[in-house]
Amino acid sequence: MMFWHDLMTYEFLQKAMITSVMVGIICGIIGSFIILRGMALMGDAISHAILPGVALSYMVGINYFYGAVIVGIFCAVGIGMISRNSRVKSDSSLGIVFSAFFALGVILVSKAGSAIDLTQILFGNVLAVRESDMTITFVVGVIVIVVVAVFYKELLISSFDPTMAKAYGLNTTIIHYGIMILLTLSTVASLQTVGVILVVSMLITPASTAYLLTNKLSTMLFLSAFFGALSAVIGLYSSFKYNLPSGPVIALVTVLFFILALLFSPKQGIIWKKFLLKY
Amino acid sequence: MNTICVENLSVSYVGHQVVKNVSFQFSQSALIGILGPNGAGKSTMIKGLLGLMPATYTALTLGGTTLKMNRRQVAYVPQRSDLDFDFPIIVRDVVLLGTYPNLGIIRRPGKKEYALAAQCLGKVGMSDFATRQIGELSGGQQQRVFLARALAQQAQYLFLDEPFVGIDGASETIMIKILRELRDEGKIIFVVHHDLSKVESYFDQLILLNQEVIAAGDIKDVFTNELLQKAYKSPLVTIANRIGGQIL
Repeated sequence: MMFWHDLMTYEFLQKAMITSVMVGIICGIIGSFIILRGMALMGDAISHAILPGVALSYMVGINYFYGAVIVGIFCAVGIGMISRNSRVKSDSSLGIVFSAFFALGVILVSKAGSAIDLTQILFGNVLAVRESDMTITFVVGVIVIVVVAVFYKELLISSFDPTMAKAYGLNTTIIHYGIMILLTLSTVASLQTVGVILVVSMLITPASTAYLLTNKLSTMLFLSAFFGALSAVIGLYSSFKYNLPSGPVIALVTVLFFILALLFSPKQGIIWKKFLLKY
Repeated sequence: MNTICVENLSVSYVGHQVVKNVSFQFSQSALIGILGPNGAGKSTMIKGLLGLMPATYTALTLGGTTLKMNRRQVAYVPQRSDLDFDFPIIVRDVVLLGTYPNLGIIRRPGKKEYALAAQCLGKVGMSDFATRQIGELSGGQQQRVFLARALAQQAQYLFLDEPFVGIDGASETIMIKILRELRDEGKIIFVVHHDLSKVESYFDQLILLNQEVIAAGDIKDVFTNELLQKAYKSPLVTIANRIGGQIL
């Protein structure tokens, strides 16, 4: 087994493996809340919108993490403001804001010259993960897990029944923006692994797979993190073995699991439903 | 002592005033029906009252103090159509949500809360369904589960938004029996209702609403042909005329 031998030998491969597994876990957890709150498009929007932040960080010469986080949060607030203060519906305001940010990002990247490789930001390059990227991913992972563990109860009720949550005095607006911040952090942490364009697959697909398999939120979070991590391992292995770009391969593996769940899930599976109807 | 006093409550929705200058006062335990035609602003009034929608008022007190001081004492049962029944949550955990307000932030439900949830689920006759996903239940069963959740909150003020819409007779009977027991324990309960058929037998107080309060008070004073016709803006609406609960 070449891959496993190389994994033991080469540090860059170890870093790639550890980082992408962590990304799978982080995105799996946050993604679960994103899909349950009907914010799948928001995940896509935020990931695109952080591009100018990345470009500016490179220009100024700081770690891209800071610029991306600031721009991501700015974008989340902007989307909320437009849909709250005008008759424009939230999905439209989302489209307006994120395409504007993305366009600005592409321009900034082109101005930044050869300092940044646009393809790498768009599609990731997990084999080029640096020590600092790995640390960022690890820190984001700890933040996400701790916040979700501590505020599990509040996240559960505000996702399932926001009206009751509000009625007993929970500040659902703060919770919303809290999730947006975690979403931005997760997206930035995933940049190196799957890139801006495909982050959404890590956020939504493993969570949707888990959603088809369980009736409990806590189980869904674990399953989603598990499928995310497993997809990362299988994806990285396949991309290495067949010399394919890692981000897209990981994305496709997440979809493969989703299709399996869609067909064979004991409760929601299409095959089972057909079978039960017939007999 | 449970009391509620509302003065000049107005609620706007995208620039339109949906509920205007609503005032009423109840100073003892009561089972109160909120009645009015479609679009009268019944649900909106409750949402405004509870701070779920932007509202203005000159006074709003529960038990003599502000709503803010009483948040945990307010249980709200939303319309079923407001919820996502595909959510990964089982019946027992829905009832457990009722214990959250008294737990405060961060603290998790423990043995005591699980026991309370089980007890409340038993009260509505749904213990056998504890581990089922909430969406697998019938409408009436779901509504009983949400009543159990309100029971688990042990609140003094209950607000139910159209709890009897599209549910079976057995569930309705169980629910009204429990609501009466709660009233007898001293609580104040509001029920948004749009079925005219059982008004006298269900409620002892009534708020007749059509954007403004047409009348509020004792059922025998408010549930009259004259006031109903005023609320429904139709001379055809009479107590004798109701067929299957619906107005022609």
